[in-house]
Amino acid sequence: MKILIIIPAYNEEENILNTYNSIIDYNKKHKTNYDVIVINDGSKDKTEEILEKNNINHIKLIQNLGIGGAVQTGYKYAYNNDYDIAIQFDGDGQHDVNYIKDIIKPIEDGKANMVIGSRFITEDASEFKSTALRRVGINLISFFIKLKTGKKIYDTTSGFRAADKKVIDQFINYYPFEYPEPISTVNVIIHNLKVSEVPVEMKPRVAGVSSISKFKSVYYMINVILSIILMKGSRK
Amino acid sequence: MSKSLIISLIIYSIVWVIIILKSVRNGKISVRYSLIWFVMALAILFVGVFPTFMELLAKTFGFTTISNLVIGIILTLLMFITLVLTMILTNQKTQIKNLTQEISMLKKDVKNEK
Repeated sequence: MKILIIIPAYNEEENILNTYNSIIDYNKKHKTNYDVIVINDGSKDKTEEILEKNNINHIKLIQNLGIGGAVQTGYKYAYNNDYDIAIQFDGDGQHDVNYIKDIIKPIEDGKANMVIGSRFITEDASEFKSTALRRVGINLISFFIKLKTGKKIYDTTSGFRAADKKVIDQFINYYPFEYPEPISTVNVIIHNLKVSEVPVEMKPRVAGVSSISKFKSVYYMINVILSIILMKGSRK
Repeated sequence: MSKSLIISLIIYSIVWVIIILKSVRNGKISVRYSLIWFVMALAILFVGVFPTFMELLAKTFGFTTISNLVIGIILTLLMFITLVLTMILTNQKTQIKNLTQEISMLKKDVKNEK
């Protein structure tokens, strides 16, 4: 199976090389063949310089598109290069390469089309579970996803996920601009593709700032919930 | 409806038509998008030319004065135009995103071939 790791990066000069090296080291140690594509989303810092200097496979977006447009570029790259599985992996050091084998296993076994690396399935999987306020938000989104699709998704905002060819096909045709994770998940379920969750551990970000600030979180919630409710179609 | 309001409305709509016509001829507005603005100008003209009809309309819909009805009609048309503009904007945002992605991927391919 051809496996691609998509790393969206916006101003990640402090983290991107470490993230990349962790995957290369993992490949060497476990004899795996995970390919990497970094999507540089119009970074204004030295991210591009670092990518060039270290000869890291990357696409430099000619202008900033935001997380949705950047990640979708990765899925389009996966589609064009005939990858079987595409994994979304944060460039900021929050995700752990050791869990990649876990999130691709259900796809390899033919048990799921999309797998979400989830912080909330088991109580002890992750020391870092986000702040209390954010968990309330995540639960609220989870409730609306259940209402819309009938399926319970625990970690609705996790950006650590794996997609098979059918899901990649779907993502290249439609991928939300903003806050893409919960909305695209609902879209996948609505199209009768199977989504499952596996427990993963996440670390607090090493450097840089999160893409969601406190002030924007209310706007975020309204946006996501409205998108989910208004989405065309429902589960069959 | 007062005489002066009627005259004002007619002049107003003619000024609008001239502005739109000029914009289309200069290529600043496409013919397609100018149509909605002509409808707008014609609506204003209609109000000025048929005041008795407007009085009837105002009574039917419970407006106390005709000028309120006129403002109501113009406001509705404006909201409609803004709505259409938002649709066009959303569509163009997607198109620009797709172009950005395609060009960026092409640039990578070109660089690799060098």
